[in-house]
Amino acid sequence: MGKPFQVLNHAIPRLESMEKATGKIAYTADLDAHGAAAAIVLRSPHSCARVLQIDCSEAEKVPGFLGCLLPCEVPDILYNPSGNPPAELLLADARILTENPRYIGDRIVCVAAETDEACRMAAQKVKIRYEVHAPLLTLKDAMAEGARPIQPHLSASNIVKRRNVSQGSPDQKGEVLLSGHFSTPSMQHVPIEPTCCICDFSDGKNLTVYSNSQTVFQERRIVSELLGLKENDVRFIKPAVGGGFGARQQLHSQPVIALMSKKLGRPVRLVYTREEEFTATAVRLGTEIDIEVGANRDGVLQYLSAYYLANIGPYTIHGPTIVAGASRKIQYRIPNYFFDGYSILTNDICGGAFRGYGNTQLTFGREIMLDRMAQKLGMDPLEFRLKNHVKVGEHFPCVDAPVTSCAIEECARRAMEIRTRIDVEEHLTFDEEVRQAWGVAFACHGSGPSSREGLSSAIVMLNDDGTARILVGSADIGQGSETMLSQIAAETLGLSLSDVRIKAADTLLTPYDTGTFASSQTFVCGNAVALACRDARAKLLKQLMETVPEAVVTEEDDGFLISSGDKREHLSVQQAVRRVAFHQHGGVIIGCGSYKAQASPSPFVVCMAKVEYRPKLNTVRLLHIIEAADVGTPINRLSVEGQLEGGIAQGVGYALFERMERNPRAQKTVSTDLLHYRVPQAADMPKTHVVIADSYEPTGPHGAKSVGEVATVPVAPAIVNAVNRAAGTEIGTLPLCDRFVILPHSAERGPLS
Amino acid sequence: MNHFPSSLSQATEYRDAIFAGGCTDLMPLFKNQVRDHRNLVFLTQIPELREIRREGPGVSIGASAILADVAESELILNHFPALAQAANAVASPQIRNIATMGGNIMQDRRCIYFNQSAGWRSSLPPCFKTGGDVCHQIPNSPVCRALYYSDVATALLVYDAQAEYWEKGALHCAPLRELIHRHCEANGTACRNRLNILVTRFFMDSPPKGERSGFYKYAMRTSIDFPLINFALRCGRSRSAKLVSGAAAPEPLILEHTAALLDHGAADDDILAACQAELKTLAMPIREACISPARKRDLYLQVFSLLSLREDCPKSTEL
Amino acid sequence: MTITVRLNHELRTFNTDAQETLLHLIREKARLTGTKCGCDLGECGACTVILDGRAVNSCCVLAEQVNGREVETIEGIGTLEHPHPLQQAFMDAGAIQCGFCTPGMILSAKALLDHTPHPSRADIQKAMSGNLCRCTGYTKIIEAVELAAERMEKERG
Repeated sequence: MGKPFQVLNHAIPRLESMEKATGKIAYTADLDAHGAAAAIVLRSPHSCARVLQIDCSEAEKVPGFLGCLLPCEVPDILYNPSGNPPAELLLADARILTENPRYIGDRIVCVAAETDEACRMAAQKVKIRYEVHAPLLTLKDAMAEGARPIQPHLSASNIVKRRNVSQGSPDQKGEVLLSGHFSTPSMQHVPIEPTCCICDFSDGKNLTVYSNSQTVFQERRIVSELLGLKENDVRFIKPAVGGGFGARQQLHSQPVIALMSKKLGRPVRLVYTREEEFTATAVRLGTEIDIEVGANRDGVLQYLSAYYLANIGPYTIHGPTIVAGASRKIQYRIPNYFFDGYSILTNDICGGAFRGYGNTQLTFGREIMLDRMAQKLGMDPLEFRLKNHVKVGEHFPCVDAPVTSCAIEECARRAMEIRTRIDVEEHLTFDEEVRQAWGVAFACHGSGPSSREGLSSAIVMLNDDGTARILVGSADIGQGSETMLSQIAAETLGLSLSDVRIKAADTLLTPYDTGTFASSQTFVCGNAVALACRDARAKLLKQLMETVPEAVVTEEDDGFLISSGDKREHLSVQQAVRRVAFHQHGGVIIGCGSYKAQASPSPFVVCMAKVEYRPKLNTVRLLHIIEAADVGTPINRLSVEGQLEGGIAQGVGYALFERMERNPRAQKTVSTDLLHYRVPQAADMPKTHVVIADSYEPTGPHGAKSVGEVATVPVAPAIVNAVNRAAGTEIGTLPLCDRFVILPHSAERGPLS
Repeated sequence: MNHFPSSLSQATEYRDAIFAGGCTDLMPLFKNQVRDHRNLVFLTQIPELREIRREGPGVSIGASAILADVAESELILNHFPALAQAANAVASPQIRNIATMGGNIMQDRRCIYFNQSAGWRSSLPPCFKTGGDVCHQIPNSPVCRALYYSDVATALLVYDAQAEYWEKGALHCAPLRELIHRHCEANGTACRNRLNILVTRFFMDSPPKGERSGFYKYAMRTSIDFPLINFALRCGRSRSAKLVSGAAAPEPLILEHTAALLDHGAADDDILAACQAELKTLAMPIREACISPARKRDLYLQVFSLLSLREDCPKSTEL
Repeated sequence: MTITVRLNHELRTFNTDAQETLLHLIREKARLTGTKCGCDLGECGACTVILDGRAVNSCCVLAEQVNGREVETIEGIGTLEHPHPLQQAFMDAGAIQCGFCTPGMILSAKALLDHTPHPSRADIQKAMSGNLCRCTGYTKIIEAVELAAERMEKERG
């Protein structure tokens, strides 16, 4: 695995930790926006309707009222707000404001006033009359014969896109064939920071946008096109961001706020309410999936087919790309593989990117099917999976690139060690009253987009005192990429971490980056930073040689050796930079690197869950979750553990009770706040145990792969597999609160103490 | 206007007042525009309403006593454990630190169609609670079917608490059950008929020596959530057992049949079956977030958590 | 109405109206933006401040309710140069990811430790259960509070 690292593979607190701990760091809503007007976007209360009339006359009388922006005042252009780079699967169907709302998040009117309070008052007084239509909320309704097409310009039916991927023969299914149906709900990201933006387009020529964004360069591109500007005239800045998880991988209301700013000639600020956060941003796609798995009696997998229906909401945005993303993340050797995926338009909440990007849903069904198959064959579920798992040099089904690193066996072994220790300490009870059981699930993902469209660049500037400043376009949304990239820079340059400063995600000051999604920061941007730093080192060496033309300069880990005759001089990197900077033949050292992802190596996770079921009371309680992960070299152990623990928590919520709940009477969701939609709290979490395997990814920066998304993917199926074993059920539907009384982890027997 | 009277006599002088404790129940209602924020009279600066003290054969708890204080009061912990446990189970630590006893008892009944923003509600006709004439939960119901989710009420009722309140110019004292009944009824049409009552204190007689009591709340999460069901139970030697259940109907339910079985020393399984049967008869379930009617019925068995209180109780043969 | 508040150990006077929340006053009038608005309905805990020694949700407290009382925000308990042991422990334990819940978490923890210097793990989980975090899974947050309690005990000697 090479030489020991100086900066990498250590547990290092985030660079900005103390600014966050003291409340000093500024999120978008904390910025002093120099006289910004307050804005509110009025949205449709109906899932499907047509606007008949908008009357702002009463709103205009509210003291402090500044203006309304109506659908007729904005460019009538269809666009796709996805933060992905341009691609065939991105279809244009969204509008800045609309008179034909297709779900309850659709923007109808924007109102602005001097203060938040005046704006609320004015917004209440805007009267909008609607003609209400019956919405198509479910897959069944939307796919019914003769159902009204929601985006007729894209497709005559609501099946807007099909993704078909296959290899092998549909007739070779093996000796044992099992089939199952799986149903997953739509889930909200619930970042604790609400979506917001401040737009300054006062002069109508130059637009500056501060917003919580994962993909500043894509957003700049789309907004430039929408407003007829050059990208040079638009600046997107990402201040500190309070979580993303995919929710900010698309434009939200920046275009309408920009236009409002132009109309008023002053900056405008919009902060979403928590209700808007739930109903008007994005959700993980709800799916209905049919899976068939075939194996021979010796336990060798032969066949897997998935019929994958995704409820993408009324706009395509990420939908078809997510369905495509689900299709190539099968980590088992399966000679006959068939994926048939459909993106279905509905009037439900709009779907979008969410940690796992389609993989979460398919892995859920797949890992439950593998458990059923193991049981059918009388095999241990862990052994069964390992027996069929791809190895280095082999391929995932329907994927060209071979696996370049895989420590799944170590993950399994180390997870098992913890499991054994837990059962020794706490026993594994299985009697009439209390039935405890373990469930297991594996997961993989990518490191960067599986389409290999990830592109990152970095600039490293060496100051004359030998400290370094890096510029990258990628956005730290709370996952810690700025710290991680600074560590890669320090390690590659041979500097200490405290000598590195980073500037990220400001389109005026930093170079292009595809964006923060697809678990790409460590692998794609990390490679760009490593390239830039190597470039800087090479330039430094070259210039150093020019300062001592008669001597021989050799590069060492921590600096340079200058040999001239029997004179030898060692220079640290800092000393070398200083010498070059001020030398007559010297210069400024600027390294740059651009990395177009040539691969998307998969990280692997083994997840185990221990649950307790009480038949008499029909209760389920989570006791333990273990995750053992192969992420290649962990750049920052503290961050990797944090990603695993956070991923587990989101998986726990997904498994137990998180769901955007559709209400038949209201014909829309009732999940509008943090009481109607439940996110796990500290005392609800089972005991979690995370392990990082020893691994090295040859194509990664210093051997690293991704961790962000894969962390959450196996959690729900591991929990459901455990519950199925404990309760003797064959459940394939989330969330589990539909079937069991969920007890918080901390629930005690008897009266509360 | 908000008012902060420092004496009861001052407080009773405001016309058409909305009385408030910590205001934690009201604030979201104001923000959702289901209640108008006007003429709010805070009772938190009236010293005698904040007291928790011995009085006569029992205790007096002021309506402005803070839930966190009730939960930690030695007096309450020692003599009325179910109440301390209930106060400790309300909402979140942050809310218990400012919410009051009176506010908790007089809280609005809740429902997924009512506890929504004005914008969300605008696609449906107004319901009974918001000035209309329909219940979206049970469209043919002549009254509002929202549930009453107080944890504290369930515990107070198990101790047969009395309420003291100011109404129409005079101080009254009545069984808390009657006050809650009136509150819940009026609250079903809260925009039209608001109960103009200022609750001042709660009284409870000390339970007989050796009686055991406790409270259990089921919520899917440890904190913040309203109960999906709650129970308070007392059982012991010298008076009959009592079992109360909340969050199952528009007001708390007294489960008399189940309590009688407890007095007769029935086996756990029989009690669970009786409790489930009794709640099936009395409960008035509605659509709630994240829980189906079938799971709500499963929750009727959660009374199991309180049955260990019986361990020291005498068996029927001894009676 | 004019109210007087001891805000972060300093007597301050503010003009307020009947409907202004404590959160709004802290962020907009005192310009202390370390206190965050996550839901504005008392459900997430991001706006937690300490009122007379107890953690409360400032979004559900009216400014007039705190007249004559003492309020502590994240800015009042430590600085970049002199952080509170909890702030240091949150950093060292890796309990901070996006950081948006952090000020509220730290104040809930401070209210706990001021009251209960030796909390059990269950005490900590309970005290923090009114604060939502979507990034960390809470593991390192609980560890941070334990670490701070330990260090504060050592400091006290």
